[in-house]
Amino acid sequence: MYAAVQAWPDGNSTVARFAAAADRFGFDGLVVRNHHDRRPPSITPDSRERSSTRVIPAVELHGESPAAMSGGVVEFRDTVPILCLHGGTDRRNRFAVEQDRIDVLAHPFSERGTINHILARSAVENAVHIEFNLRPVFHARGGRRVEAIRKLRTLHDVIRQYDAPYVVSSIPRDHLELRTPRACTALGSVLEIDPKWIETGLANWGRIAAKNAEIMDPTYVEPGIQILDRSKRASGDGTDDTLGQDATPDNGRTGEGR
Amino acid sequence: MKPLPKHMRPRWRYLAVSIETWPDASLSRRSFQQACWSAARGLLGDVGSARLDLGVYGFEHADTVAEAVVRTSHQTVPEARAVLACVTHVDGAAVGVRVRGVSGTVKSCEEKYLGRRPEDLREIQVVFDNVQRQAVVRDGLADIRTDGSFVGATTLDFE
Repeated sequence: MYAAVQAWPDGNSTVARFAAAADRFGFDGLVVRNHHDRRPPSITPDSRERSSTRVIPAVELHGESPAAMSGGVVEFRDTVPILCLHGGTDRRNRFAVEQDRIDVLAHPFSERGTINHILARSAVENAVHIEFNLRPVFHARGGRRVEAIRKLRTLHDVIRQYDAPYVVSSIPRDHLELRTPRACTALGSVLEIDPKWIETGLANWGRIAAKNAEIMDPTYVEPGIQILDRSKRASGDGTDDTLGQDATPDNGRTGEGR
Repeated sequence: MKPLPKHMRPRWRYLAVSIETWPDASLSRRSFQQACWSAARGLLGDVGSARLDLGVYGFEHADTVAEAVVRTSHQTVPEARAVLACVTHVDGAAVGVRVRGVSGTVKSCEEKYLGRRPEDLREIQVVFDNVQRQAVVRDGLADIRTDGSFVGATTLDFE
């Protein structure tokens, strides 16, 4: 399970401080999802070696309109394992779920935005994970919290109905706001959501990163095909090395041309 | 007034809670208890809050860390966890509340989960983000004073 955080300078705690807290709280790692227009967080080489918590860099694209964020999609897609888009309005939410290069639609309700069945279907087609954001339930009070809970319950039903991909987080901005996985599942229980569903959402961050790390690997070609030996391709001997002789390929592609 | 017969008396569970704050915060048992009750009423309403019947025992605050034992009804431990996770401020000071464990008695709760004495705080001068700043350091963790607030860091961030 992973904690998706906003670290200094976007938040008020450094990556190392978040990592120390996440380690104590039982997370497998951190996803650092700072906004693209802020200075990127720094992780010192020492802290990377000394911490047992895995740190996954991510970027959250931020802008007023989809046109403003389109450039960011192209710029950042190949640089980070997880690319999020700052949702919150109907227009930005729709833009995000229609982009197959976006991994996560972040906080879709932050500015009175909504998610309906049409956006859920687009999210399924383009494998865009919708963020189930618990932050307003933890931090807001009164009417704002009531509205957040109402929208989250609807989102939960829509995600389950259409089997849409999703992630769960509370977007902590400092280490005091970080909540343990058990606290998130306990809050889910109060909202009448299965704790296992919450745990799956927390773990999905890691699955997105693993899938994209495989795609970002320079030897990756397409699902089930990987370059095994670049040196033979460079020598131009005409042999097709996308499938090595001793490889065990996936998806039944074995045997073609042999 | 006579107590209820044993089989009708409420059964309790005791949650070992650690509370982390910024260096300038001051907390008391009363203020933390008020914050817990307020969070319970806000999340679960008056009926839910009465069902949990939260109470705070054995509160100790030393610098940036506090420990407490929070009592709840034996059937409402998950709700109590959710309520404590919603405690974000005590007396206006930002706090981070974490449940370390649950036990059937106060004594076993304190013995198993609490009582770890942190290293003493010390204030040092550090260079952070290319600026000379004051930092409060403890156990490899550092809270760096910036304009009117703190940034959470570790000694690795400025070694």
